[in-house]
Order: sequence, then structure tokens, then C-alpha cells
Amino acid sequence: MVMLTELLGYRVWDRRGRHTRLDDLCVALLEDDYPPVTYLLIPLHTGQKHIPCSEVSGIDRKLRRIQVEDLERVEAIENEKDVRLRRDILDALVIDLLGRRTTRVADILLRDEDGSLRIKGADAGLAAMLRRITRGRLGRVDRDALFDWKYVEFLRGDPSAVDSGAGYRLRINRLPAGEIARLADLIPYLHAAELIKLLPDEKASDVLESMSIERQVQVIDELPEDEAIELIALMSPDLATDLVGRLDLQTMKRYVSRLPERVRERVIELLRYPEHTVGGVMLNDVARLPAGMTGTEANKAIHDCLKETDFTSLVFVVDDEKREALRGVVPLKQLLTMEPDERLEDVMDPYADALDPFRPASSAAYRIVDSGVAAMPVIDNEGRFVGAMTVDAAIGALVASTSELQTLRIFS
Amino acid sequence: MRNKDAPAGLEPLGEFAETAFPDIPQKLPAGVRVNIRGRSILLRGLRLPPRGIWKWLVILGPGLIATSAGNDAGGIATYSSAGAKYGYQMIWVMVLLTLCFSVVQEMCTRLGAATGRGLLDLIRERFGVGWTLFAIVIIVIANGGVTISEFVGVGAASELLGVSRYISVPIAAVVIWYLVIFGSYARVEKVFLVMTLVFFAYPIAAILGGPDWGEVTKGAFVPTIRFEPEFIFLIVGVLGTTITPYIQIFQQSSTVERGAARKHYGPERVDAYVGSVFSNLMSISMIIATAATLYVAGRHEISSAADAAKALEPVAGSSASLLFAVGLLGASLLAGGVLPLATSYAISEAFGIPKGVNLDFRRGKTFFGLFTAFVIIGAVVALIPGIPLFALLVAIQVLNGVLLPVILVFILLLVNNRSLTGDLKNSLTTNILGWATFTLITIAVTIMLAGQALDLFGIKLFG
Repeated sequence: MVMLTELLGYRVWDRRGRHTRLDDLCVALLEDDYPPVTYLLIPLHTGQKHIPCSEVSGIDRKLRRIQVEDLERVEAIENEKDVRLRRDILDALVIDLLGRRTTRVADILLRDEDGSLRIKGADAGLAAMLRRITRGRLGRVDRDALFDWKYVEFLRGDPSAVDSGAGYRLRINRLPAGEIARLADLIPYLHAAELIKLLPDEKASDVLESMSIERQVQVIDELPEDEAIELIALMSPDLATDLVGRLDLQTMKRYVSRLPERVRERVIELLRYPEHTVGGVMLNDVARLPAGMTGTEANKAIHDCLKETDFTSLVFVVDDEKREALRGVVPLKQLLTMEPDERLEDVMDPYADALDPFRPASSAAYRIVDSGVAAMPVIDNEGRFVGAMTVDAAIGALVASTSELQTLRIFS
Repeated sequence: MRNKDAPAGLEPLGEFAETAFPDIPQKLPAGVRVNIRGRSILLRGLRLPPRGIWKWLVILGPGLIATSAGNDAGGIATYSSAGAKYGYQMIWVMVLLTLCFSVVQEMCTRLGAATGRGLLDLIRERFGVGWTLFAIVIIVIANGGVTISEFVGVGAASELLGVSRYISVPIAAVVIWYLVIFGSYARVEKVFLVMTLVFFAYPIAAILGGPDWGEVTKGAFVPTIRFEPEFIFLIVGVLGTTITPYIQIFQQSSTVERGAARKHYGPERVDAYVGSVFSNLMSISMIIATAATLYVAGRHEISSAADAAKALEPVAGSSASLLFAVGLLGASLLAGGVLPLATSYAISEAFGIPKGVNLDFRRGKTFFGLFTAFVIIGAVVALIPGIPLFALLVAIQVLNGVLLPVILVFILLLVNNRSLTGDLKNSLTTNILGWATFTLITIAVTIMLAGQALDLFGIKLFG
């Protein structure tokens, strides 16, 4: 086991007694959970040279030497994309997935395994920083400050790196979208955009939905237009509306025009309502079934709805002919347990409370919370059923500022 | 037709009857009519940029706050001293400094927007752990010291206004702490922006002093150099007070927290320039106010901001004195909030710890813990009777002097790194101005450090 800081202080010797200092180490970042060192970088009169790790015959910690066969036996590596420990990883911002935190790498733990030197962990502690500035004289390795490299995600802070073929380990993809979003809120926006670019589209849109709205705008701005539109199209229409509503007017028009028709219509409908009104926080991607449907038909129809609709706790029953006229609501559980011949109009609640889309969201939120319902339908002044305000939206509208949240947290 | 005031849930859906009382028409935002795929639609859900005067006011933020915080208790003392000792002769220095200051502050803003990272983030990533620790140690000591002086300023100003420091300082500390811990960034920024209004006390004090505006204009545009040690030392002091590392650190970090992005960079630049010009105009007002009164009356010695306010009373009347005291209180409160924040930002960036006023307490424990510690230490130490403030300020000036050229070099190197800033890289003109500022600062700092070093051996370079 050796720390990178210590190793960088070693001299590289060959059999003919020639020696030079060690500048850096290249790693094959994607090759393994614990990436192997592939090349030693040494300075030669003609520039920096790569010595393959297979040339290393031993490391003498007492003499602080790395023994190689022949210093002249070097390979010319033109690939500037290779990851170097000192240049790229030391001091870089990384995500420690186990600790669910961001930190800066102050030192790297290397271990000789199966004949190759591998990155096993990283150290972000103050002792590691001290070790570096004193060239290993001060600052002992603190095992508690080390974190497992297997669970480290290394980002370059450049969204275009994803397209240019830089490798990523992508273990972060295993975290829930909400947790990735929280981490993305803590890192610089270019790192966050890079993270979104490298995630699979479905996951990326889920993560984007969970980020703070300010960060969403920064990230979308950094993505190429096609990718941005693709992600927005995958988002829930109400959240996509919040996002496009904050883009500059020309960008918004361009993006909305290019969305798939189903999403586009929903987004345009939601954009009609001011931000802090019921219409501004409602969702219009809800399950609506005609009142005349039987239990068998409703079960089949709801099965198809579930594929495309995010909110399914309540099913909205509309008129058989005038599909925009709401007749009642049915909880999903009740719908699924209906008798096959029973009609929706027989089991629905026709007295459900409904909201006006231009009503302030905060006052509507109290009604939803007080009623204890999962959502309330929203009907416009022409009697059209336009969407539903969910209890999630209600809670969001009630938590007006971070100060209230902090008051709870600091004294909890 | 649905009536929004229909008895909720008491009639079947779709059968809403008209109620006895008609709706009151709602006031809705006008919205904007857009054409999407050939359809003209009225959209009210867009967050449109503000219009009229608000269009310009919303631009103001980190730039105005950071630069105004530089006009703190130490700044007021230095500028007042310059006016009391040399009249209008030093105004040209401030005019020249405005150009340098604007360039430096704008570069920091640009770095923040282009990278989404604070200054210490970038120093750690690009220049390594050694330079980072060097900067952090100095920042912690120097900013800690200046924070103490801000609370001393709060105490002194409140006593001029008739309130004991033992009441005002703890209240100020609690208010600042509460604002940052419980507020969002937007709220903190708004409060800080409102606090900058207090600086208008200085132009009013300057006008009340009845200056000779012809002399003021001459002082501003005709450079006067007196080859006297004290004059040169005061120029160095003015330079060091105007361009201070914490101002750059705070401006960059808060630009990042405000959500500036490289693709929309522009308003932040205006904020940086407006802030620098505004802050230096206020500094010039302090010089004019004391030059028109104290200098004319032959009272040349000013050792603190409170001294200046007291000295103004017999020569310029109680209004001018009161305005100076109010200005000092506001300035100290603003800087008392900005300095602990700048320090917390710097430490968090250096170690990769989550940072930002927008964090909730659970996620930002270290950031808020640092902020709390700096506020408590500042307030408690400021209340210790007989604290050697002058010696403390001299030591801080030396530390900041050591750090400032290093920080300026880093800013210039970083902002010229195309891989970081891309199209927002420095232009040739900005580079010339930037490096000229660096040279000027380095000469000034060298003179100051030489003076301080010789002082240790009993040799008085500056009289």
C-alpha cells in the first residue's frame, strides 16, 4: 500500500543506473472497480514520456525507488484523454457515493494487486493535504478519512467531455434519481450538466425533475438543443412547463414547438396559467375515463393509462360525449375492485370539490390538505376539466420559503 | 358556466348553479401572446424579465454588495484620513482605482459565471493544495480580524448614536446570523442590497460640508504626487483598502450561488461595474466630506471611522456627524455579514464541502457552522475592553497585502485559461488593465511591507 503523494516523491531507476523523477501516473479508469495504473510518466529531454507498467520490476519503499528495465523503452502516447492521477484527479471534485457527498481528493491510496498497482481509495482529509505540502513528512494516513474508490464518481466539469469519449464509471446511476439530483445541486453547474449527459435518458429526466428549478435551467442551457428537447419531452408535463417557462422567450418557443405533440399540447395548456395559481401548479397528465365504462373496460383502459400517466391515485370520470366535462372522481383502488358490470358513474363521487385554475395556489393548497384528498380536479370558467392539483403540489405551495424548512430542521 | 364561488363539493360536478353573488373579476397578469406552430396563444405562465426600472435594479446583486462591503469601518477611516490630511489631492487616486477595481471585480464575476465555481475552488483545482492552504490560512486570520473590526465599528457607531455597544453588538450579531441561517440567498441578497442605501449618507455629508467643487474636480482629474512618506503610505493604504481579497472571493462565490451561467453572461458584468463605480463614488464622498471640513479646519489626524464622525461635529454640524455615524453603522453591519460569508465560502470551496446560503442547515452544517463561528468570535472579541484594534488592523493589512498580489495573479491566469472560460476569456484590453493593476498593487504592497519590516527594526520609512 502506498499513497500517491509518497510515490510521486520516488525516483525511477533503470538497470543501467539511470534515474529520473516520476511526474505522474496514467490509469485505465474504466477497466475495473479498482483501476490499474497503466503508465508511469517521466520527464525526458524530449518531453514527458510514458513507461508501461509492465516495465516496472519493483518498488523499493526504503530507497524510495521505482525500478524499471530501461528508461529509454518508452511508448509515445498521443491520447490526451487518458486520465492522470496528479493532473486530473488530485484536488478534483469527486462524488463519494457511499457517503452521498461531494469532496476534493487530497491523496490517493494505491495497492499492488496481482502484479499491478491499483487505485483502492482516496483521502480527502486535512492530514492528506498536510502530507502533500510537507512531501510526506507530516500527516499520517487516517483510515477513517479514506473512502473506497469503487464508489467514487469522477466528473471533469466539462459537459462536452461526455461526447468526446471520456470514460465514466456510472455507478452513480444506481442511486435513486432524487439523491442524484441533490448531489447535482451541490456541484458546479457544468459538472451537473456533465452528469445529466452521461446518464441514460429516462434516468436523466427523472434526475432533472428532482433538481432545483434554477439548476434545471442551467443544465438545460448547457445541453445541445436536441438532447435538451429529448429530456424535456420525457419529463412530467407540469415539471417540463415550470422549466420551459423560465427559459428565454425565443428558446422556449423553439423547444416547445419541437416537443412531441402529446407533451406539447399539455405544456402549452399549462403555460396559459400564471405561476402561483392553481393552473400554474396543477398537472394535466391525469387518467380520465368516460362515465359509461364498465368495470372490465375501465380495468383495461386504466392499464393503458398507467404507461403514460404519472398521477394515477385518482381517476377522473368524464362525460361519455363531452370529454371535457368532469362528472366525478374514483380512487384507483376502487376502480380496480369494481364489479365487471358496474359502471364508473355508479361508483364515482360526483360531489368532489373542484378548483378554479386562476385561484391562488396557496389558498387552494389549504383546501386540499384539509380535505385529505390525493388531488382536486381543476375546472376552468368554461366548465372544462383542465387538470388536477395534487397534494404534492399543495405541500410545495405551502412551503413558501427555505427559512420555514430550516426552522424545522435546525431545531429538530 | 362554472362559477368559481359555487358551493364547493355541495353540488354534483358539472351542475354548478349560479350563486346569488357574482364573481369579482380577477386581476391576471397580462402574459405574452406567442405563436407556436402557427397557433397564437396567450401564455401567462412564463417568467418574463422585468421591465422599466426593475429591469435594471434586478441586475444588481453580488457586485454592488461585495464592493460596498469594502467601504467598511477600516475603509471609512482610511478615506476620511486621506481627506482630512490632504484635502482633495487624493481623489485622482480613487478615480484611477475605480478603473482597476472594476476590471478585477468583473474578472471574478466572469470566472464565476464561466465555471460555476468559486475562486478557491479554482485555486485548489488549478494551483494545488499548497497555494490553497496558503490562501486559506491568510483568509481565515485576516477576515477573522476584519470581522472583529466590523463589530467594533458597529459598537462605535451605535455609541455615537447613544446606544451602548454591549447592547448593539450582540443584537447586530444575532440579526446577521439569523438572516443568513434562516434566509435564502435571494432574501439575504435583498437585505444586503437595501443596506447599501445607507452609503448615500456620505454624499449627503459631503454636500453638507460645502466643498469647493472646482477644487474637487481638479483633485479628481489632475494628479498630485507629494514625495512625502506619509502621502505615499496613505496612497498604499487607500489602494489596499479598496482592492481586498475578500471582496473578490465574495463576489465570485455569490455570483455562482445566484445562478449565473456562461451562456447568459452580461447582466453580471453590469452589476460588477456599477458596484465598483458606486462603491468608489461613496469613498470619494468620504474624502470630499472630510476634506471640505476637517482639512479646511486644520484637523488632519483621523485614526478611526468613529473619530471622523466625532471630528465632523464641531466643523460641519451635527447632521454631518450623524450621517457619518449612520453610514458607519450600516457599513459595519453589511461587512459584518459579508466577511464571515466570504470566509465560509472560501473554506468550503477549498475542501469541497457543500456551500451556500440556499442550503438547508442539515446539508450545510459545516458552511453554516463556520459562518456562526466567525460571527460569534467577531462579536465577542469586539466587546473585550481595551482590544488593540490599531495593531490588529495593521497586522491584517500586512496579511491582506501578502495575499492580494497572489490572488490577482491567480485571477488573471484563471480568466485567461481558455479551457475554463472559453469565449469569456480576457480581451487584450482587459489583460493590459489587469496586469497593470497587478503591477500597481504589487508595488504598493512591497512599499507597505518594506515599511512594516523596517518599522520592526525601529527605522521609520513613513515618518
